[in-house]
Amino acid sequence: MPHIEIKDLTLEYTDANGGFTALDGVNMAVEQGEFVCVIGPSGCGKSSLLSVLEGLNKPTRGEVLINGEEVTSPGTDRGVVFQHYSLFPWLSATGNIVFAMKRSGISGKRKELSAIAHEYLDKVGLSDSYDKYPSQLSGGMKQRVAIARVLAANAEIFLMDEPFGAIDPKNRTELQELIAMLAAEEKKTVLFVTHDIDEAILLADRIIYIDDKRVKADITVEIQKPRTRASLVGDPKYNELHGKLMKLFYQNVADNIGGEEVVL
Amino acid sequence: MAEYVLTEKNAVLSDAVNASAKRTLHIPFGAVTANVLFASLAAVILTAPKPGNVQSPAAFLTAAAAIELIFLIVYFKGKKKSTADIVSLIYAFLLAWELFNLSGLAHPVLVPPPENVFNIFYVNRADMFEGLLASMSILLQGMGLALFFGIIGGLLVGYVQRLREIFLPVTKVISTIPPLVYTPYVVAVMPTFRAASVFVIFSAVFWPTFMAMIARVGSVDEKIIDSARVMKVDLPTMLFKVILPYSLPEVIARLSFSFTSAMLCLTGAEMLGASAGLGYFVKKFSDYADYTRVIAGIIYIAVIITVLNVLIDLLQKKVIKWKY
Ligand SMILES: Nc1ncnc2c1ncn2[C@@H]1O[C@H](COP(=O)(O)OP(=O)(O)OP(=O)(O)O)[C@@H](O)[C@H]1O
Ligand SMILES: [Mg+2]
Repeated sequence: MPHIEIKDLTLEYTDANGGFTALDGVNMAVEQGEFVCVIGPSGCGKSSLLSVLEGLNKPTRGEVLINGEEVTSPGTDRGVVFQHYSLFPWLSATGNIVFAMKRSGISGKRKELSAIAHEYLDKVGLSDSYDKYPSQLSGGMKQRVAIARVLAANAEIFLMDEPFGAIDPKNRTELQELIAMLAAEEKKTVLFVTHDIDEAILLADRIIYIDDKRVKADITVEIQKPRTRASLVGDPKYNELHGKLMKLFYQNVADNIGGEEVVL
Repeated sequence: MAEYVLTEKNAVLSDAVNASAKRTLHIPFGAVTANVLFASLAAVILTAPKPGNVQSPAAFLTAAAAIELIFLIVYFKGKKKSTADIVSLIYAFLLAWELFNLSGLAHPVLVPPPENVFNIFYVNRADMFEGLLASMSILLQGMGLALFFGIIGGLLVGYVQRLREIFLPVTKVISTIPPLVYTPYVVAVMPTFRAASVFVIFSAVFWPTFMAMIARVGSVDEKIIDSARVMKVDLPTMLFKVILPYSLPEVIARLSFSFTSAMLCLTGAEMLGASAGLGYFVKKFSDYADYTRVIAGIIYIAVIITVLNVLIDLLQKKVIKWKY
């Protein structure tokens, strides 16, 4: 049984001026321990797909199953890292992690929980920021805390929506390698949304390309893990895959231009 | 890396050197002025020949010395530059007051000599202390109840969109009515003076707090709510562990404002019907045209307000250690 199964998922947003279909018949499955990147142009419905998995939105049609059970609400079996920094500003780095641990039913004395939180902060390279508040952390540091938070809360599934989208290239590379290592080490199932082709190839066991509200391509990445930016350079498999994904994006652009020309 | 640390340390060091060099070279005009004024004041109090109605200058001198002491402590902690200027202003005022009285131009009843006014703090100390206790117990009770119900009520009402849309416009109207307007009525209607004062202070603080809380809760960052929801928080946790801490700075920031309006209402109410308290003290003696005691009462109230404002400031810094 796949860890995550999405069957015929349709999501419509309804508001004052009618409805808007964001996803239309999405089918996909993610195996236990698999790292899947979801990629596609802006507005194609990537975040919408994740919001259903997070339990924040309910499917209009179809269903989402985790371990064969339908998802109807948020749950601590899933850990979420948003693109926007989602730490609570009134809690320190440690406090944020302890909060999430308590929500996941991890109990213990405040001191014990803090000690565990510190271990995870060490893991993400924040040994000197235990007591800093989010306003005292850079964007990259905040996302490190967010990663430490989902790790400490011990979720089986990581749902990450462009977590490194707003981070400078040097830090982004570090964070990508960090999440690749941690996910493999802790055997997590990861669904990682990005619009960065290189990021997807670096991280994914499988890349799912979404466009036009549904899955358009499902590509297994055959390149040996662990991968680094350096090891990918010049790898023929990397070049081929990169070309393939570029074509998918480009095809979309060409279609749009073509369409407009017809209109003109 | 090591080099970087080194140069950074050097930078810090040289900064410190620069700063101390600046400190020794820089002449602190504000502090010099304040101390010169203090010395002149003390000299005048001690040496100038006094008219017959002037009482012992001991209390006046003690007050001036106390101001000087506080000033020196604050100044050498190096917190605020403006302290020296404020203290200079106070000394200048006291000096002018003293000289005015010495010149013989002052009306002995309307402008009593400062020695006599400050002497009241000694002579009437029991009365004044009792007044302080009476006022503070009412103030604390009224403000405490108002803050509690304002915060909790605002939290619950603000969280439910339907309620929020009902209460926000209503509270906007009510909270703009100055409580002093209905204070006389409340004092007349309520069974005891204490109940009336507590009620007036409660309304002065409750409505603005309630309104600010509703508005704040209604505009909590969606991202905060979402990140709480994905952690599957239950309703009490959402309200008290997420939205409350998120909104609290707003209320605390208004605390000194709330306190000011509470104090205003209290002293106002006390002048209407109390038998104890700070406002009562002033009112009673102004009825007897005892302006020495009236002025002492006013200074007393000002000092208490200042002390409480400093405490509120400290509280704000203690409670809110974070920023957005
Ligand atoms: N709450 C909402 N109500 C109505 N429409 C929405 C809502 N959220 C998203 N949409 C619409 O649904 C579509 C898909 O949005 P979504 O955020 O899932 O895209 P995305 O693939 O994540 O884009 P990006 O890469 O820019 O983040 C967009 O056209 C968007 O305007
Ligand atoms: Mg998105």
